[in-house]
Amino acid sequence: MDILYSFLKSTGFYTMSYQNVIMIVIGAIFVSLAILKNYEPLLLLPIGFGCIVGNIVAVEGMPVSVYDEGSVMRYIYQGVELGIFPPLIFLGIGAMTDFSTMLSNPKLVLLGAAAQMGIFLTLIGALFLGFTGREAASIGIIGGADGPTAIFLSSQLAPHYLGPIAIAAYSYMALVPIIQPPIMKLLTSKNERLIRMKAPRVVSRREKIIFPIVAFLICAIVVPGSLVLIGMLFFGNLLKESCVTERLANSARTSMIDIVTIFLGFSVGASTKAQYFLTNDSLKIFFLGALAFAISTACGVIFAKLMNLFLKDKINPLLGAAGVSAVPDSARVVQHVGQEEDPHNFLLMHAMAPNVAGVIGSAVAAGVLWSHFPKL
Amino acid sequence: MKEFSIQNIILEDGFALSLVGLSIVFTSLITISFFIYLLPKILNVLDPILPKATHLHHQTSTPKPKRDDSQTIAAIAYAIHQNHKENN
Repeated sequence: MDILYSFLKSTGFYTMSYQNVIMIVIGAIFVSLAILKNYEPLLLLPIGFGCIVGNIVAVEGMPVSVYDEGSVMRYIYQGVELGIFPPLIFLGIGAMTDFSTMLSNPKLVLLGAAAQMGIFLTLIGALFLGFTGREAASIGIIGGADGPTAIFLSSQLAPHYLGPIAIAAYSYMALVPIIQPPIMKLLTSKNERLIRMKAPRVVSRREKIIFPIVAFLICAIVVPGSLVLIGMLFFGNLLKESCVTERLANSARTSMIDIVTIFLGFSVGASTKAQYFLTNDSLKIFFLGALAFAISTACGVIFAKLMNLFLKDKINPLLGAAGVSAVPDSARVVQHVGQEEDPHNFLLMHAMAPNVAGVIGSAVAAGVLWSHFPKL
Repeated sequence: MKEFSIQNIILEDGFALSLVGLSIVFTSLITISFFIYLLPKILNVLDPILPKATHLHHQTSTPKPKRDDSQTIAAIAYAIHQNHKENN
């Protein structure tokens, strides 16, 4: 009887709290959104399932969760905690990214900078709510709408908030098609949404090869803190554009990024154990994250309208919303919203320019914040 | 319980950090944008000096193995010859 009782005490029914059940339901919602609504399935499915796994509570002394020394999950989670996975993701993104549209229309790069305003305004908001500088910087970076950057910075500055920040960043990235369109429509007139962009010029292969090297030097010299993320991004891009390392580029953009995404998504999900995750601070982080994302979108659109005051060839202000670096979702949203007004207006290609500039911008912003708050 | 206060922002230099941070992001991206704008012009000037990119590509890519088709051609030629012989 004692053995049976001791076994029952080790089961999930005995050890789980109602908070764990809530987190399991949230995990199940993520999985459902990924499967039924196709919202960022490559991220939400591993995160959602990880969330379910992470909330099965084992008995004390049994190392199974990401927080238990010696558990397998703990070793996988080291890739997140030590900031190893995000640069590898950036390598893959670099090997996937085509900078052609950005190279053909350099003024659109500025939209990628404008959309980073959300990061810094949210930082102020987080400080106001009582977070420390390091925590506020990690929360603000959610506004960059770049999951790996958010994970990288919070792993360096506020590892205790890594779970909520990562979940908030990826959730809002998945919700780009819901969050952005109302803000874009609110800030633009019908006539502005109808603006058609000039066809981009053809970019030579030399430009594509020289660009990642020089752009890396500019970013790394101005902000050495951005070296890790930006370095990997442009290295991946050079592998692609050089055309002489096709095998390496192909591995980086397929197998490698897929493997890292699986480990990253699953272990981030598994880190959302209710006892660490369901706190008032997490709720504040989610609120601030949504605010950051909305401000970034709005700032991008408003900056595009400001640019139009000085430009002869007007740009469609919807492109400003693509300055947040949720690649390529925010560019797709721009295309979708533009086509609601004019089905023959193809903005996707043009929106990719601020979109990839946003990736660079958010990595630079992360570098700035990391430089200001060096490791203790 | 964390206190909500403007004082928190001032203590952590929040306003200055945001302003400087945003300026650095803009400076970096404006520099990149300006470089992209100049790049085609620089390349035009350097065109006579720089090697052709396509040439480089062919030099470093894995050479395709040369196939020796002589035996296949000989077999086809023999088959055609036999066919003519039979018809005549």
